[in-house]
Amino acid sequence: MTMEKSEPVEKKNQKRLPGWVFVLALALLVGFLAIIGGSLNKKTAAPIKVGDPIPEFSLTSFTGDSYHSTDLKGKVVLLNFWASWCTTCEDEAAALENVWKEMQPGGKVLFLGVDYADTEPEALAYLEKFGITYPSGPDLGTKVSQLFRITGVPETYVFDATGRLAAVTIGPFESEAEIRSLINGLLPEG
Amino acid sequence: MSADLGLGILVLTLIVSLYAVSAAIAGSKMRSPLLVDSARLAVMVTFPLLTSGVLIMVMLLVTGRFEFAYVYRVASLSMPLYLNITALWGGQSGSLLLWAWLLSGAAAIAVHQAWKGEKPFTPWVTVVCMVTLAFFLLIVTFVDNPFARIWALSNGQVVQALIHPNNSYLIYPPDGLGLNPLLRDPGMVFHPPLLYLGFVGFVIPFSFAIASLITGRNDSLWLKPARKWALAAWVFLSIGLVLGSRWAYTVLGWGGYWGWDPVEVAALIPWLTGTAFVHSMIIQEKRTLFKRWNIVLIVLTYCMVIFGTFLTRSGVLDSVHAFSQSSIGPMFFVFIALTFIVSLVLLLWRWRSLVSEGKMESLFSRESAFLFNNLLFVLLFLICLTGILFPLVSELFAGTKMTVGPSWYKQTTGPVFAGLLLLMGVVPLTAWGSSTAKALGRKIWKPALASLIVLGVLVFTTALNWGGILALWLISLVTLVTVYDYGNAVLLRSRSQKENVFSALVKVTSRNRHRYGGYIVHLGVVMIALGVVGTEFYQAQTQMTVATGGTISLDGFEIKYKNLTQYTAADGTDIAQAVVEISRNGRILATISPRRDYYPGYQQSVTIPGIYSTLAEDVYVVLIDWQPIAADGATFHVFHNPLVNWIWIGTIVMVLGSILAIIPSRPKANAVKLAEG
Amino acid sequence: MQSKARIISGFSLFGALIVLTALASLFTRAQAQTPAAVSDDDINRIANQLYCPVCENIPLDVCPTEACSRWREAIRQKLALGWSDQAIIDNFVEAYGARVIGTPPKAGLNWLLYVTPPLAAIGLGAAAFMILRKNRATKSVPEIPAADLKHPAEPYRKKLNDDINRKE
Repeated sequence: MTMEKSEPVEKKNQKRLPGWVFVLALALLVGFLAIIGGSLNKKTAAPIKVGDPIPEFSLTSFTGDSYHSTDLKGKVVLLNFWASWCTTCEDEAAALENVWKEMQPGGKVLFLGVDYADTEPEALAYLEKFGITYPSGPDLGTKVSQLFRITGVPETYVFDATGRLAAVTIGPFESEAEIRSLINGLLPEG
Repeated sequence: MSADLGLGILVLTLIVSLYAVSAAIAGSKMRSPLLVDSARLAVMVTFPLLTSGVLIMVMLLVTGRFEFAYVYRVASLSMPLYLNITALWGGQSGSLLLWAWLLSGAAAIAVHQAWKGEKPFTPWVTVVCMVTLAFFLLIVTFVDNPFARIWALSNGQVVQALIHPNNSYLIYPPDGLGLNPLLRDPGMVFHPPLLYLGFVGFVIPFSFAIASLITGRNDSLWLKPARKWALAAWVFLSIGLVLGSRWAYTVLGWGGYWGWDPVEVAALIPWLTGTAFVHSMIIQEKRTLFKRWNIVLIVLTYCMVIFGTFLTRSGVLDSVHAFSQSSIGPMFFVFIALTFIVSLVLLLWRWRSLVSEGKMESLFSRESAFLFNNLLFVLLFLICLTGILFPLVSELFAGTKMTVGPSWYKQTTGPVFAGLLLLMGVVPLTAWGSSTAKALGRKIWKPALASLIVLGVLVFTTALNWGGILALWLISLVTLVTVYDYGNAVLLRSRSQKENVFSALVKVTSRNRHRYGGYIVHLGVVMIALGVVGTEFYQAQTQMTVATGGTISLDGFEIKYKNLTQYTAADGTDIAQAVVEISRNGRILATISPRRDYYPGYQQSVTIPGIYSTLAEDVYVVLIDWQPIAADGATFHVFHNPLVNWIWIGTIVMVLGSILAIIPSRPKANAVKLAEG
Repeated sequence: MQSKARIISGFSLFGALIVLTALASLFTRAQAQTPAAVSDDDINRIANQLYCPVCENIPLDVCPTEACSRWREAIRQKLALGWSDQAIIDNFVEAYGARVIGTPPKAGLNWLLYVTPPLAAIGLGAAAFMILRKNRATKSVPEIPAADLKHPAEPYRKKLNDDINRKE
């Protein structure tokens, strides 16, 4: 039978825990906490805040034209995430198209549709149904939506002419007037 | 009135728990038993306080007080009474209240017992339990309070608040939203509380371990109370996990019982380290080895309990199980950082003094087997942790979301589980101390040979599914070894005491409940393994659209679509119920009714399977709504799940064995046990 | 004579071509008959390995949403066109990102996922080896010097040593 010791063990039985063990253990723990903290931060923080510059991305439209974020400077850009399976997107589709028709001749505005996780035949059918004429392209690999960390569709990001985020709308626009006043507010005078 | 009372109770309990922490620390520092006793009483007071808080909440839910935001969100007049009670844990804040209540109950019992048996630990057990409780109460009281009500402000805005805002009036919705349709099931009654009992139960042995570290003891005094609590927590957690699986299987109708979803894995991880702990502590009891292992394992278990709770509720994981995102994430993160760092520092500080007195002398001894056991479980723990952390790492550093799915988990954990099965088959016949391969070989060759015969039979009679055959062989090995050793002991006693086999069985078992309770648990585990192997390696499935009267064939079964009834239930649910007849070789075996329940309010449907169950297999039929369901053509997904019911049977056996192992042995029996070794 | 031979060989060549074309059309017609034969099982075989791009961690074969039924339909069409399983999966990944498959592609940071389990296993194995070796190294009881073997107390000393060496 072994004796139960309740006093701390005599010095000669103690082995010194090498310093590197302390450092390694604490480093691993801190690394783990950093990952968790970083992920938490990323998930809870707003993905892109008003005033941030436009993130770098490219989009190829259904008609084959390429758009790159760097080309968009100098124009007011409305980036609209949508999908053909999204019923609330349909609520704002007509409004968006109408405002586009007004703004396009001026040449100072660009509407860009990003088709999120969709199938091409249905997407094209949706575009035709609402007569969408502004460029729209599939978000291949969901890269752009992950970049913007969208929480769903529809979501709209409006950038001013200097390439900075001016407004975010989660969900469909309430009315045509809302879109119009948003864009007009960002256009340079005259 | 209820709102004020509820809020008051929460605040009061928080104050009491904080008092307990300070009094315990002060009492320990000033060596004042009076202060420590007052802290202990404070702990015990938290339980009736929180009980009344819980009762008030249940009353609100059951009487339809929808001006309370939480009641509005989870309760509904259209739900039966038992579901409205269950709604207490149907949402974030209510389930946190439940967690806190269960913890206060466990802490009250633990502290009461410690004062009697392990007095030096009482202050620190109090501190650990009450710090944890205080944290949960902080969140429930100040961040996500179930007693908040719905107010309309003067500008028309609707807000939730605990205290009456200026110029506002209460809103009284006529009905609540009710639980999500997927949760409206008896499974919801048992699964979360059992899981929480498991989680909460592991807080107690952790607190004893911390107490041992703080008081600088290196003996096994902390292990005595820790053992009972760890075993009880393990049983609850195991039942909770299996119940969740059974609920998914019988109600949610996707054909399986475990999806390796991140939240599922997060709940499994503490079970892995907890299982390692309940084994490893035996070695410290018997051989005073593994002191460090045991402290590390129980600390890991507690940390993973808190971590898992955090992951599920903070919105960090992408999962169907996850609660809706809320602001409790950052607070949880701070608590995790604090507890992890403090635990690690304490461990490193006392590492040197945790010297084991025994020695592991042989590779083939029981001690070594338990060492391998610890290592395999730690490996499983690391694999599962990698699986749930990797998507976070990928999103953080590579900016792309990734999914870690069942195939990765099965490929990585499969071999480790096989290793554990092998170990289970060998350990009963290992001896303590120095033991050689030859000694082990002498004891094991008979059951091993029998298992090889089983292997031969399998190879020649079943389809050449090597993974399945290997797994089945391991299962047979464990069964044969366990029954052989158990049987030998029974026969030995029966012959020497001139008793019949049954009374010998009872006597042998009751005199060494720990050992034979453990054997029964292992037999239960092996039954579960049998069910898992059956479904993993030998499952067959098919999906087809058939007209009324049409038949689907699968593995010799004929599944005939007889008819369909469609109706709207009293609560507005749109139900489509098919009647399906199962037969084999022309003989009708059963008539089952798979259903599709569509909830218009949620725009969500649940497909509840029809299941024909026998010991040998399940025929599992789901009514799919890929195509519109109609009498002239309905789509069915049919599964043949061999041996699946052994999972549920094995769980019952496992629980019975655990209860046997937990029951404390009487002192007299102890002396006999020592003599018998 | 030569021109006659040429005409005959020309005709036979022409005839052979017609026969071959007829045969070929027979085969293609047979293939055109199979699109309807894409079964739900075929779709599930692929959908089983994929996740809904939009929902949280739900496999594509059980996902109940409208969008998922569209994706399953897209799989059906591709199978009907004769695409291989792997091609369909690759196409899905290209369209919706790598998160739609349960085993991340073995590239870049993803290697971390595949390398960690084996490394952990090796690490733990090494730990086991070291623990066992350390324990066994300190096990031996000192040998009795030969000179003491004739000591009167030797039998008792031997018995004592045997008792110490035997654990039970």
